[in-house]
Amino acid sequence: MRRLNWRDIILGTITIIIIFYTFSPIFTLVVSSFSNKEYIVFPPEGFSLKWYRIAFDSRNFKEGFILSAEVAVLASCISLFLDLLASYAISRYSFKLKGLFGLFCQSPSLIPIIVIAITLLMFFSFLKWKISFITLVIGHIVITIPYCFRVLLPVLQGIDKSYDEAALILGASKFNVFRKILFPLLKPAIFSALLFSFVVSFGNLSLSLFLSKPGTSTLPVVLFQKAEYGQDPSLNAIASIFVLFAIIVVLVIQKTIGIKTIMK
Amino acid sequence: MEKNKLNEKLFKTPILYISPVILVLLIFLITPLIFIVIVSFVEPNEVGLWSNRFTFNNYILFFKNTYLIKILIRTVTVSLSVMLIDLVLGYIVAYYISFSKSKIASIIPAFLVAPLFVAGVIRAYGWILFLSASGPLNIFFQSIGIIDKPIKFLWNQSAVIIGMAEYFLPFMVFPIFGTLLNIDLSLLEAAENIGASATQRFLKITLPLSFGGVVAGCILVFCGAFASFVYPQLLGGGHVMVLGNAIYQYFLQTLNWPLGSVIGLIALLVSFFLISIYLRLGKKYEIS
Repeated sequence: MRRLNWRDIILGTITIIIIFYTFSPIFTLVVSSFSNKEYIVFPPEGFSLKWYRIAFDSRNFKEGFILSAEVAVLASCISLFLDLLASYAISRYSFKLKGLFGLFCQSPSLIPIIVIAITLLMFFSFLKWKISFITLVIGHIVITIPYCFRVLLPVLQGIDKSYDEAALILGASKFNVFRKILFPLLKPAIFSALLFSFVVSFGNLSLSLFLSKPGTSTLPVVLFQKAEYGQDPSLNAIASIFVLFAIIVVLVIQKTIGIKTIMK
Repeated sequence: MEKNKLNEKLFKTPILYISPVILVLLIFLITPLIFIVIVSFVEPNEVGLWSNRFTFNNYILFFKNTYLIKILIRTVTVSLSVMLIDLVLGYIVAYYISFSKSKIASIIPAFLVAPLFVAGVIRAYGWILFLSASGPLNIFFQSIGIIDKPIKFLWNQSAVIIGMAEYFLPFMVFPIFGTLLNIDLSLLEAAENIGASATQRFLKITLPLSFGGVVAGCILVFCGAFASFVYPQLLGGGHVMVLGNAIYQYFLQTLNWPLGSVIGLIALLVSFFLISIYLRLGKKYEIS
């Protein structure tokens, strides 16, 4: 036990340095979002919230945010529904090729997002489907399916089947079994599934870049296009808000799930 | 009688439950994939998208094209670099948080998870700011007198590697952390009791037992970096071309979809290949 101290100190210091490295972009973003000037200066001069005001006034950002939110919410809910059914099937039934089905549900995460993006683009183009809100949502559903699945399945498998069986023997319908027994136990898992899917969908760039209707862009696409042109302090303001959101989410996760589901 | 009905209810194949997902994925994932294979064999139209003519030309074009081969090599180089950096850094972090009992070690995971909730675009932009000529890094070096003029950190391959290494670090830490947690501490105690030094304990017990996590992490990071688009595009400033940018260019700029499909297929096949290794090893070491 005494040996640990030496090792702890060295490794701990290195780890902290590594964490500083990981956080340097985020730190820069947040700190410089409060600056007074048009350009990025370090250490930041002046303190001003004007970039936040500009960001909030910007029509581009607002429209982007709304579109991203709409797509994310819609895609997450639909994925959740699909995956609830799927994980219910896996956890409560035994059927042939169950393992393969489970793998299939996770398959979108095995394929690079950019490949999913181009394949969908070509597919829709072939079908002569105009690129629209719907095509965007479809793409986002595909990529969020694995996330909901990975969260829901272990939890459902952890709920003892004998609860179901007892209720069924006592005459409850399957739907009521779900409603009164499974659903209450699933609430935290459903919450996490929706949260993860939302974050993945909202922050996604590759898919949205290819599948957005020209003229309407999701927030990440707007940010990307602005970032390509160079520095823009209003970007910092938006970025800081993201960071704030991330901090809140992590704190919430700390309180609820505890050691975050590190199995990702 | 009731038991039989119960069994029937419980053990039929639940077509109703599994078909929605299967349908969605079949139509919108598998079919488009078949598409990309087909389109890669098609000749591009003058307009750019595709024609009806079948050809191997695209593949020949790709492999003869030194520019594209260079991109492929660069993608591999970048991905390998990112993977190696993350391996070293990630193992240290994973080791620390799994073996240390200090308060600091217990809050580090939160710091690793938090950036994951911030979109990639934003973190990449943060790197642009951080590494820029007037950004904190240069200002810091100048203020302590190491350099006189700002170093051009950005718009090159190193910037891309540095940025992506940061982005993928959690993907390396978590699998390794998972396997390290499972190591039975009594093994290490027993080894200490019979006189093994710390180094020996690490090399002969900890390292081999965490090997599964190491491989999993490496594959995750390599695959992720291999198909990356955002970081190379933003941090490379257009000068660093990897597969991701090439796909973007061919699909949205030059509109040569067949050639773009070839590139996409290569990215896909490499990912598939590596992930199948991951899955096979996963079964062997029982990770996920």
